[in-house]
Amino acid sequence: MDFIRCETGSLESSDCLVTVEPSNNFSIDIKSTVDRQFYNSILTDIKKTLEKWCKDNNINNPLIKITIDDRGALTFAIKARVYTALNRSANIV
Amino acid sequence: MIKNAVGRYIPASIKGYGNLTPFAGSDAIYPEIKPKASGIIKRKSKDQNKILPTLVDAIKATGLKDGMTISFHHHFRNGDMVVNQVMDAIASCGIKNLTLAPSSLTEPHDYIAPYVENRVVTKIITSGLRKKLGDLASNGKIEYPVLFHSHGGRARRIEEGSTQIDVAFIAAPGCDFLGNINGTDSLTPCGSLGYAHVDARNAKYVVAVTNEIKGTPLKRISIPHYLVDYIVKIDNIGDPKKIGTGATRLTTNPMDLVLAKISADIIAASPYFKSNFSFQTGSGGAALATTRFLKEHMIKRGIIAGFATGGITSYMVDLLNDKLLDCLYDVQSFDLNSSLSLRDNRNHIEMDSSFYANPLNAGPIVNYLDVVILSALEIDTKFNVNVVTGSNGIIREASGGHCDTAYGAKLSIVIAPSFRSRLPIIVDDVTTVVTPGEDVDIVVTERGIAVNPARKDIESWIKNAGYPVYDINDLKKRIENITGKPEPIKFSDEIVALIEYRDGTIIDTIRKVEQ
Repeated sequence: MDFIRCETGSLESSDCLVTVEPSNNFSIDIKSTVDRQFYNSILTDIKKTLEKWCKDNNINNPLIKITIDDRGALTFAIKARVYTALNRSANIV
Repeated sequence: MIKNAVGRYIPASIKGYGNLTPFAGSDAIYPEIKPKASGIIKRKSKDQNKILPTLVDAIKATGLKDGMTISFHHHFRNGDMVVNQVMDAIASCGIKNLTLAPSSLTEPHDYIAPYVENRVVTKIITSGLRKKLGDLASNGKIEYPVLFHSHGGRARRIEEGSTQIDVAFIAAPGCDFLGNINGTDSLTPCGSLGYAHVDARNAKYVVAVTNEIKGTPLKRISIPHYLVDYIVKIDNIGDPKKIGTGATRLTTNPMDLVLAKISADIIAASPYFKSNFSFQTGSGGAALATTRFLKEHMIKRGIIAGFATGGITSYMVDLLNDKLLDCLYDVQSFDLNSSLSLRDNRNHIEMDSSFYANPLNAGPIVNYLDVVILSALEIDTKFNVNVVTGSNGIIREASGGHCDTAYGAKLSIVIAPSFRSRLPIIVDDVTTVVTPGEDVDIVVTERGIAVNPARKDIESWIKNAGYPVYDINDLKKRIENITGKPEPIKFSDEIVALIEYRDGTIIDTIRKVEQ
C-alpha cells in the first residue's frame, strides 16, 4: 500500500487537523490545547481508529506518520478525522 | 496550613503579605473599628504649577522611589495605553522593586512583562492578570505572590490602608487646566472612572495623564482638581474602540445567546421579576447579552426595572432610553455607547468602587441587588466558582465583582457553556475558588440547570418556566459523557498567588503548574 501526504480537519476551536504521511517508521505525534488533560485519551482514539482502519482495509503495519494538531475536538471528531485522513492518504474513496 | 471554609489549605503567613486570615464564610468577618487611610497633607498649593511636560518630570516630582506602590485604573481595558508608557518612564528612571496595584491588567500589558522579569515590578496586587503576565505569575516568575482581590475588596484595601498607594497614575480622557478629571468629555472617552476614585482620594500623589488639557473648566467632574497633584499631556492614552472587546464583547455567538435566553427566562420566572427590580450582568458575552432577552420579558409583562449596576453595556443603555429602567449605576462603561450615555443622561450615574461593592462601608449598592448574572471558567459540585485560572491551571482572567455581587444579590445565577474546547465546566473541585458556593444559587448550562440545594425555593419556579433541573453531580456526569473525564492538572507546592475574598480573608491560593 502506498501512502501520500494528506490532511483533514481544521484548526478551529473544537476541531483538529490530522496529517498522514509516508514514513520509514510508524509514529504518532500529538499536539493539543488540552494535552495536559486528554493526551492519553487522544492517543487511544488514534490507535483504535488506526486499528479499525487497518482491519477494514486488510492492511498490516502501515509505514506512516500520523500528526494531530488538536484544538479540543471531541472523541468522535478525532476518530472521524483520523479515519478520513487515512482513507485519503491511501487514496481510498 | 489551615483548612478554610471552602476546604482549601491556607498558609499562616507568606512572604510579602505577612500573616494571612483564612476565609471563614461570606458573612463571617466583622471589621475592627479603625481610622480610614486617606493620603497625606503635602504642601501649600498656591502658585504650584501642576502641568508638567513629561511623565519622567511627574515621576520625579512625586518622589517615586524603589519599593513604592503605584496604581492605575483599567477603564480603557484592552485599549489602555497609559500603563505601558508610565512603566517605560519609570524604568528609564532606574526605579526598581515597585508594587503594581492597578484595578486590573488587560491584554496590552503583555508589554510590561520584561519589567517584571528585570525586577522593576516585584509585586502585583490586582483583580486580573492575562496572557503573558498570567503565564509569568503561574510559573513563579514574579518575586512575590500575586494577590487577587475583588473590585469591592480593592476599595476596602485602599480605604483601610492594606494597599497604600504612593503614586496613582490616572488615565484622564477629560482633564482641565485645574486638574479636574472625567472619563467622558473627550474624543477618546472611557466613560466612568469608578475604579480611580478611591485611588485619587487615598494615594499620596495623583498624576493625571491626559491627551488634551482643556483651557475651560469641566462641567461634569468625576475626580476633583484638589486631589490631583500633577497633569501630564501625552499623545495617546487609550483607544475607546477596544473597550468592548474580549470579556466585554457584545456577542453574536449562538451558544452565548442560548445561555442568555435561558437566564432571562429564569429571571422572568422568579419572584424577583417585578416592577422596580434591580440587576447586574457580569462580563462575558452570555451574561452581558442576558439583558437583551430580559428586555422582551419586561415589555411583555409591563415591568420597569429600578436600577442596574456594574459594568454598563449598550443593552442596559437601551433599557434606560426606552424608559424600561429608572437609573444606571456605572462603575465601568463597557462600550462607547455607555460612555456617551453617562455623559448625556442624568439618570446614568457614575459610582466609585466603594459605592459599588466595598464590604466594610455603610452599604454598597451590591447589597441592594435582586439578581446578578455571572460568568464562570469552572463551577464545582459544591457550587464554588473559578474566574481566575483556566482549566490548565494558568492564570488568565479576573476576579472582578464576581464574589461581591454573588454575596449581595438575592439571586445569583452563574452561566457557562457546558464545556469549552473539550474541558468540562462543571468539575469536582474548581482549580481556584474565587466565589464560595454558599453565594451561588443557580448554575445554567445549555445542557441543563442545577440549583444550590440550600435554595429549595428555586426549583419549582424554574420548572414552571419549562426548564428541567438536574442535581449538579448528574449534570457533571452528563457533560463528562460527551467530553471524557479530564486527567487532573499537576501542581507543585509553591504558592504563586493568593485569592483574597472581599473581606480580606484568603479563600484560595494558586500553585505553580508542574511542567
